[in-house]
Amino acid sequence: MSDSFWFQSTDSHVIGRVRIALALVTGCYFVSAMTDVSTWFAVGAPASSSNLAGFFREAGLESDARWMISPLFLWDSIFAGTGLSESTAVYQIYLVIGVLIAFGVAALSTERVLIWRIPRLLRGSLPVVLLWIWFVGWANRIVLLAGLVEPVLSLSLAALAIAPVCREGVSWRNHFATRLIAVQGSLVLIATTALMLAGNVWWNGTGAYAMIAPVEDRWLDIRESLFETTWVYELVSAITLLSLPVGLMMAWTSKWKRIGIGLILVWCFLVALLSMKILYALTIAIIAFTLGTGNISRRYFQSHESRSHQE
Amino acid sequence: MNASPKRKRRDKRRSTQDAPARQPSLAKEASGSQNSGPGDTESELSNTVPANRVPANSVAATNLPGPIVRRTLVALVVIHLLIIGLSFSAIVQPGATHNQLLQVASPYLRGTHFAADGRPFFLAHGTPDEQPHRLQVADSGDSVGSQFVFDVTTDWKNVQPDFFPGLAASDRYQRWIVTAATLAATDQPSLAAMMLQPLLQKNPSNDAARIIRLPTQLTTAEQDAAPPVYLARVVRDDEQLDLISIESPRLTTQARQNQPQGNAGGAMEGKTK
Repeated sequence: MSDSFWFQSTDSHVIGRVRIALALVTGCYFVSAMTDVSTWFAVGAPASSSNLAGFFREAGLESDARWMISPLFLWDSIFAGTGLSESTAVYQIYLVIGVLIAFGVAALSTERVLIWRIPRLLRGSLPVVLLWIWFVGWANRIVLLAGLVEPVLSLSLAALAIAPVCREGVSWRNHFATRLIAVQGSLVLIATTALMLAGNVWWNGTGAYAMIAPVEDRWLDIRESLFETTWVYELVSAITLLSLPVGLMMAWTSKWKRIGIGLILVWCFLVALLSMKILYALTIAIIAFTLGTGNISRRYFQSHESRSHQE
Repeated sequence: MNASPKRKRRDKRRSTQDAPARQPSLAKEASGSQNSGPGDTESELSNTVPANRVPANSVAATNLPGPIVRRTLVALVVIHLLIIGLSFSAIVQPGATHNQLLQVASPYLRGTHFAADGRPFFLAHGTPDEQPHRLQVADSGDSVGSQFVFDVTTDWKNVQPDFFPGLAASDRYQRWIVTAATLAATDQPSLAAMMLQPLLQKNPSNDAARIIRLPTQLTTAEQDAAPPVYLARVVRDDEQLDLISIESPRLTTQARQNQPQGNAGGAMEGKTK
């Protein structure tokens, strides 16, 4: 890859907005985890540290579990035998701090915060590094309960941490972080397409149906609806399958970027609607705005801003 | 291809609209963008200064890292992307070498939670583990004597997820039960029991537990009639709770009515805990 692909001095216009959006998604993720902490992580609960340790020992997965590093495992281990270990309150506090860091990063990335004096320490990468570490700490702690959003969000936050938080002047780190998020996202989406094609349902036209078929675990109940018409679910399956690779290819061309990003957004909408993986779809949608060789995202944001100014 | 007059007008209008928004940051990099002529629309619009187009003495050029640092960073990114690719390509069925490479990369992938870890990024493959799974329990209300007998008339109660379907809490319940079901289906009922024991500990009246797969519009009648993925008798000894898994019979031609009573569908009782 050419040097200028990775290294250009860019302002923080695009990465700033991507940072705000990803921080908000991370904040929502922490909030969603608060709802059932006592069900899973309290003393004697299925995913409590002691139960998980026993499970990994029994399954012979200790070598794998060794690298699942989390401050919460460390905490439970240090305070083992006391009321502080495997305490619901401690886990809730961890999540509340996570929400505060996430929304703090989002606030620091907006221009409005600049009316106050922000300490120099918080102007660089530190807040996002902290958010990433906090997020990884939680994702590693929940282990078997983690889903699709965690790896994608972890990759994106790690790349995001390269760029400084406050929007002052131009920096090559803004561009490098944007490119890394885009390339990582493309890699995940290419892998997703290949993995989808490994299943028969995406060849016989029932892929979209298979996504929404477990109606007990979905918001929508498509039974006896228009979605059960053959041409409808086959068309939706074809759109879900094709919009991703076609959108990705178009997004990386200079001429069709907007349409390409639009197709990826359509894919995200369908995934959120049919499989209820809302935070995952949101994360991919945010990543989509970093795709492309030029800076369409900036142009997109600017045209929206100028339109709102005119209104 | 020449741009149409309409397209030119639109570009001109957009350029005029964008001008106030771009002005402050353009001023900041004034010295860095001297080489961008008026015709360099992409450069003006994107407000970027590529590494190979800036004069050596400009502010933007001094902001970029040196060539050695740049090459090192690109090399690190390439290694990082290869490892990520390795992890995501192992989701369906990794080979032996693939697994060995993943083991080597394990500290990096797991420590950072970059690992795809076999999660269903394919969204749907129409496999049985995508069906809704439910943990069901039965109590000894209808039993005779000390031995709890369960058969087709047993009243199984669903242990429902805490929150609405589709939300994160419901997803976590589903993942946990699917993992237990997968372990049971791969002849590891003791691990499945370890996952389920804490969920059953709370209610002392539970005498049996099972994991079932709910039918969907895509499942066949044969799949819907399949025995539970996991079936176990709950045995309590003081504070201790054990699950004795009951294995389903395989490839039997014995008629159902001739099978022994007390086991659902003529299951064989195993001593796995």
